[in-house]
This record gives sequence, C-alpha cells and structure tokens, in this order.
Amino acid sequence: MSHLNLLMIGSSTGGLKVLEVLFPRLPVLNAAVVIVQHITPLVDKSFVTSLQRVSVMPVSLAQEGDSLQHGKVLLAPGGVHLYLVNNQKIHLAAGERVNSVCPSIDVSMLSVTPGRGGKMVGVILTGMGRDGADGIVHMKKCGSVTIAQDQKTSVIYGMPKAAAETGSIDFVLPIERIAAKLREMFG
Amino acid sequence: MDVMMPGKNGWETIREMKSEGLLAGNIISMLTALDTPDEQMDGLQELVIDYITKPFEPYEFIASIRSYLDCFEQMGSEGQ
Repeated sequence: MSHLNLLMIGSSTGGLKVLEVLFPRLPVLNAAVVIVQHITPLVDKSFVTSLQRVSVMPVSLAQEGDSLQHGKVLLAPGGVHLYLVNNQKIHLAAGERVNSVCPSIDVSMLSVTPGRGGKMVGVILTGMGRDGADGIVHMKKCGSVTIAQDQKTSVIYGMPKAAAETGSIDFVLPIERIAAKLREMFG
Repeated sequence: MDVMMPGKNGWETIREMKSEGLLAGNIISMLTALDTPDEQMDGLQELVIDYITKPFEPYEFIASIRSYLDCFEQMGSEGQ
C-alpha cells in the first residue's frame, strides 16, 4: 500500500462523548484511522467496545507490528506511546510521559512522515492541555490537512485551542462538520 | 467527583486515591462550576473521561453516567 491515506485523531477528556458523535456519521473511509486517546490501560478495551458500537468500521486496540489498513480503526493502548513506522506499521513503546500523558498525541503525530502521494488528515479534539499542538504542526509540514474541534462542541476547549493557536490548523469546525469534512476527503 | 469540595478539592482527592492505587481500572467524571479548563487536571487526563459543567440537567447527567456504566459492564464481562 504505497499510497496509504491516513487519518490521525487525538483526543482527551470528553473524547468518548465526541467520538460517539463523530463515528456514526462516518462511512467506511478510504483511509487508515488511528486514534490516540488519553486513557489508562485497564479501560482501553472498553473504549474500543464503546466506539465499535457506533462505528461501521472495525475498531481494535493497536498492537505491536499492526499494519495500517484503509477502513480500519486502531486505538492507541493506555500506558504506552504509539509510533507510526513509515506511515505503514504500528510500534508501541513504553516511555516517559510527554505533556504529562502516555500515550501522547504529540509522540504519535511526530512519528508521521510525508505522505508519498497518500492523503493525510490530523484532527485535534476535546481535551485539557496542549498535547497534540506540536504534532499537528509536524503533520501540517508533512502535507496533512489539519482540523481542530471548535469551542462550542468541545467538552474542554484546551487542546483544540492550543492547536489552533499554532497557526497550522486549516479548519476549526464543530464535530458534525468534522465528520462532513472527513467524508468529503475519504468517503 | 466534584471539583470544589470542603477541605480537599476533587483533584487532590483523585491524586491521593491514585497514589494509594485505588483508581486502577476506573474512570472519573468531573463535576465543576468552572467553564474554563482547569490546569489542576494536568497529569490526570487519562483518568478523567468527562468534565460536566454546572448547571446541568439531571437527565443529561444520568444518560452520561449510564453510557459509562455500559462501558464498564462490558469490561466486567471480559473479566478484567
């Protein structure tokens, strides 16, 4: 899959609520989907189950060596950082907390490499702090379209605000319009 | 967990419970009168799955808690 399309979503507090609004509005996308949610190890599988209830795409917990595939959703497990290897495979590694969290959205987004013809989108959803802000700047430099959730539909307008303030965000949108934009790009 | 409580606030309570290992496998929904991000949450993001601002409608709160209980029932059935 030399022209893999990639959708990377970062979310934190309020993420489950927001993703449960986003995913019912998405068809099977012509993109691999990776979600980095701030979550603890013992809760991550339940998060997958909850998301699977509202997603037509199969959702699973990312494992070491998993290959990214169009139309499939991988969630970063709790307690480890998730890296992309050449935008093709998953590498999981224990490490220091980054921005006070593990998994960190910045760590995952900073591992993205330029798309080599594939389309890429980075999305920063609700959450406290500024995790994802550096990562989204990097994704923009790699050729991604970048989106931040708006204040009105965010449970906490911290991470999306920090992302927007970098100047590297293409669209600040309510969650329903993020779904529409993703359908437009990958539907 | 309410943020503003007498004696010890919600964030201090969570940190104390976390340090005593009482929160493994749990998620927390915060209730707050603040409508801006609270920096005291820093480092607790993985535990705090929701942040409900007062005033809220009781039915919305109950629906929210029900959805998280559904999540945990599934977890319990998986024997974790």
